[in-house]
Amino acid sequence: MVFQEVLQSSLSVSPTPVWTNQGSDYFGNFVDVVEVIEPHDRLVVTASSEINLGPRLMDSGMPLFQTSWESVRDRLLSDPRCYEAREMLLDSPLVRRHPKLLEFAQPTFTPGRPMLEAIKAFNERIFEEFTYDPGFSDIATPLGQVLREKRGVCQDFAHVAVGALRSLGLAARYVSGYLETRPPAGQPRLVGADASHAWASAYVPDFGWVAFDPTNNLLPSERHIVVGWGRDFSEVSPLRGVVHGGGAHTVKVSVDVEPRPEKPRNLQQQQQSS
Amino acid sequence: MQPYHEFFDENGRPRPHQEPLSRYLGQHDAKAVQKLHLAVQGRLLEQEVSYNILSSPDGASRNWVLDEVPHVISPEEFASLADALSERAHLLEACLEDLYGPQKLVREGVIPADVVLGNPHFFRSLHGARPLGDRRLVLYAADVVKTSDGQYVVHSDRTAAPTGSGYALENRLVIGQILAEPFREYRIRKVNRFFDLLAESVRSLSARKIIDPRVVLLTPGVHDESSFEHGYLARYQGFELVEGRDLTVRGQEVFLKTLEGLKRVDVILRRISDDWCDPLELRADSVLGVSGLVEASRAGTVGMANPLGSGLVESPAFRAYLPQISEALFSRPLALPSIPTRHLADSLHRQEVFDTFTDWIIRPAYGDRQAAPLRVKSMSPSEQEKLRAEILETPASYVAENWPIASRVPIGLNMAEEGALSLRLFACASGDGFTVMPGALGRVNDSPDGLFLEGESATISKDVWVIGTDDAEPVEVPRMPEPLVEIRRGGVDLPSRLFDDIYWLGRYTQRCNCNARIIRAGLEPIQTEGSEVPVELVAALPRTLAALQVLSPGTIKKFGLEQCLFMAIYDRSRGNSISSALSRVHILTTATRSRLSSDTWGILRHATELYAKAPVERVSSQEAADRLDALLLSLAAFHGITSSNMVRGHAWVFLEMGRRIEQGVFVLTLLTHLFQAGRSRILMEALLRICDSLLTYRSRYLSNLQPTPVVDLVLTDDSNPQSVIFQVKRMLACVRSLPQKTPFPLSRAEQRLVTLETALLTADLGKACKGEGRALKEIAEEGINLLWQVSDDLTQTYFIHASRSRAIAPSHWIGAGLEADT
Repeated sequence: MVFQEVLQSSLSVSPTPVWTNQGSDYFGNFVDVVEVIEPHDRLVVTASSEINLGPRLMDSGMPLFQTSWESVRDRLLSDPRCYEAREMLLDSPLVRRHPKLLEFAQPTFTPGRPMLEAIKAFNERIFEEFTYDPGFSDIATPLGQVLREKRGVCQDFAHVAVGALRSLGLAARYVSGYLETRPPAGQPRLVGADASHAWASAYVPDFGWVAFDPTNNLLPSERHIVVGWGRDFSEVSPLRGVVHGGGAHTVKVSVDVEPRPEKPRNLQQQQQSS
Repeated sequence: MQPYHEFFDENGRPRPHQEPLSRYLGQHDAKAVQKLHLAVQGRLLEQEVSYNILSSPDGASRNWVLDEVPHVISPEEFASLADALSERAHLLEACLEDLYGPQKLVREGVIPADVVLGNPHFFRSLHGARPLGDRRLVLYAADVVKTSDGQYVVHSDRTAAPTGSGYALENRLVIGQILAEPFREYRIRKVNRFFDLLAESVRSLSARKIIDPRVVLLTPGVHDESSFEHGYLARYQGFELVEGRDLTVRGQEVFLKTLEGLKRVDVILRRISDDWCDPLELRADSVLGVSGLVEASRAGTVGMANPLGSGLVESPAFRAYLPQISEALFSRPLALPSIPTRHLADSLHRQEVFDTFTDWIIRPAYGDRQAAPLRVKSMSPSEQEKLRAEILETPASYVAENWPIASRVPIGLNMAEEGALSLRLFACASGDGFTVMPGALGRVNDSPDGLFLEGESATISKDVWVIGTDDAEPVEVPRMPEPLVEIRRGGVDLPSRLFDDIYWLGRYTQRCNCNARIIRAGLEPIQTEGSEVPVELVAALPRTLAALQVLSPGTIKKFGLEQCLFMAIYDRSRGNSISSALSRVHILTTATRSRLSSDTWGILRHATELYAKAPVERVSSQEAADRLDALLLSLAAFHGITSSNMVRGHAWVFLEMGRRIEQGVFVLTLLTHLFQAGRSRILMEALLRICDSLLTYRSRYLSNLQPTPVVDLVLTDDSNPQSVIFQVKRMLACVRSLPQKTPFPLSRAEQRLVTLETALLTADLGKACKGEGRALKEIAEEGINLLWQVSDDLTQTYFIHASRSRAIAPSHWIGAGLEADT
């Protein structure tokens, strides 16, 4: 089920760190730790990766997806193999289960409705009912306010989706990633391109995680690049750190995603010869 | 049901194990009893034992209240209590071991996943990491009460950074000495061995196997509610007391920042709860922790007591599941039970609690100690309904507790009153097991319901005596130990923050001194002559106070002289008023207490107490001047005792530098703002009086007041300890004694001081004082400028770490990206 393969990846930090360490966090995301001692008024972190994206193999006709969302919910608690996903049933720092979220989700999650169908319908509802409004929210905007005003950005929509699913008793996680910049011919440019993007993912026993992007009303495919996942945004912030001394600072982010026509093999050969 | 009475039996007679104490106290008449009482209070005051109250806005602390009558426990009762307590400690440790590892307790459904995976005190970044020394609990504390049927039950577990052992020790040192006679007769078990064991356990966590690993006690700082205890324990156990900003992580190792560079830290005994320990991986808004500490701890380079993450099991929700956990892990019932606790995530338990709602106390399941527990009984029916609705919204975040009636103990030597008793017991890891402190921190609550809920009624503390059984144990009256040390000079392994605080202690005490003298100059004519203050002074004093940033320019325009002077003394909203500067002195004194002798400490306490309370009614000029005199005397005593008694190490150097900079700037400011303003006889005399140099001037020049000799005396006469040149020369000597990377070129501070010294030595005073005196003003202003730069140089060179750290702003990842696109 590999749909994303990292061919190579590099991280450059300026000023040069005196110490670096690589590892992975609790969720298996790659983490680089750097320590910069040199006084500086600007820290530049550039991550560049070459990846191969493939289609996410999911046949919605699979009998698996005909099972009702309630049976998924019950399996999560009864089947010991679902233990790892159970973590995603619970409250997290930015997303708390709430009757209001449940109330919002229930009209879509009708009794006996197949899991995948319900998720697709729910994805569409968030897309239809919420307004994309970058000026409305920031990281501190509470979920309740987003739900009430029905406005926000991809991060808020992903949080609403995750919170609603958890309120139903389903396991859902937050996915952080990028969108491909230029749309393929004949397709519209996706909102949130050229920036960090976020979507949600729900757990289906025997299959795994089914991702859905409520900001664009689609199931992520070859245009969504996964960077990391966690219980909510707080665990997959692209950069976290502590600054000693100095005054205030601002954070600027830019993302560039470029499709490469070359086959990965050719690419590697080119690099070796250069 | 009647509460169990600890001291008297059903017939009102003292219980057998209380008899010796009862007899001893019976021998004392009212007068002797009063003497004992005063002795205890005197000791506490001497030590300034305090307990800061978090909720009070001005950071006030309340004095520690210690009852003179100790609580005595029989040897048999204590032995079984201690066994049960160490089993509970084992159980909690095993629980941590599982939850930060395989999580069988959750996988097998012994406890609901929410209690761990939904618990904000479960730190995912620590999952799978093994603590050094393989112990998950090094120090554990539990609060217990005794029920009506004589059974001990736990109402609070402390597993992250248990507090109270220092207060228990302090109580023992006070009561054990004052009641030495019954202490010996009972053969009371001593607690000092427990602290030795704890120190040994803590040292053994060092990754480097060296004889003398560096152990630090990490405190949140002087504002923490139990900061007294941190300093006390650090001194008792010989650990360096540090704050988060004294430490730094380089690579994966922890270092102490000292004047001579970074020194590796081996073990941290922490008094900071888990989430505040590392702003990088735990709470990003923490300024108390050390960024990178989690990484260092995971890498196994630094021992932590208790290891990070251990706070998980002190969540009240765990109490609800401990009986099952005990069966699952140890296959036997819980040895030391808890008060009835229900986690409301469970629908059966929720129903039970709702059915008997008024019997319960509701609190957050995951231990937010800031949130007040709710007594359902004292809520109105509508409030109860609201609470039910809130519980139903997120049931997993609440627990309900049903408090038993706690046992009662008498209060005071006459035993006229009584209150409910709670004991905080301590256990420390030793070998593979736990050793329980033979004693406890006793707390007595005399409020009607006798509950021990956080942040509520002030409680009285009691020393807790456990009767000894081992006759071989030598009977000694407890006292502070004298650790055996090797001969050393200096003391450069101290955190450099301490020198920063000492430097500012020098500056603020001197600032108080200077400001008090100038204010007094304005009050004196008012009180002595009963006549008007000379007009020159009326204008010049407020202007000088404004230049010294004691008053604002707006204030001096708006108010008269007397009003201005009073504001300069009492107005706490002004940072440099006498009372504000003194409260700063108080904080610095507390922070540097470990480096001040008890006499020095006493003098400073006396000085700060003079202005500790805002005056309730209008103060007369006479009273204000008298109080300033008292302050000046105290400050002179401080100056005197430090000059004559303080070792000439780095602490002395920074104290001296702080003072000298303030005095230099002060005199230079007087020259530009007081003297310069017309140079009348009155102002020249005032200048000399404020600089305490009038007598010297008169002995040299009689009453012939002229600008040039006046200026010479306070600016360039190096035999006058009040003069600017005197300060500069002393500072040069200080700067030269500090550690420096290279002998040449001179440090920037030294260069500036040499520049200033040369300027003063070569100044042509006759010319400078001529006419408008512009040249003099230039010299003075340049001098002030240089001295401020010297202060900055020192900060840059020695205290740069004092600047605050902050987290990189977490927001705008998405917004900024979109803007970049458009």
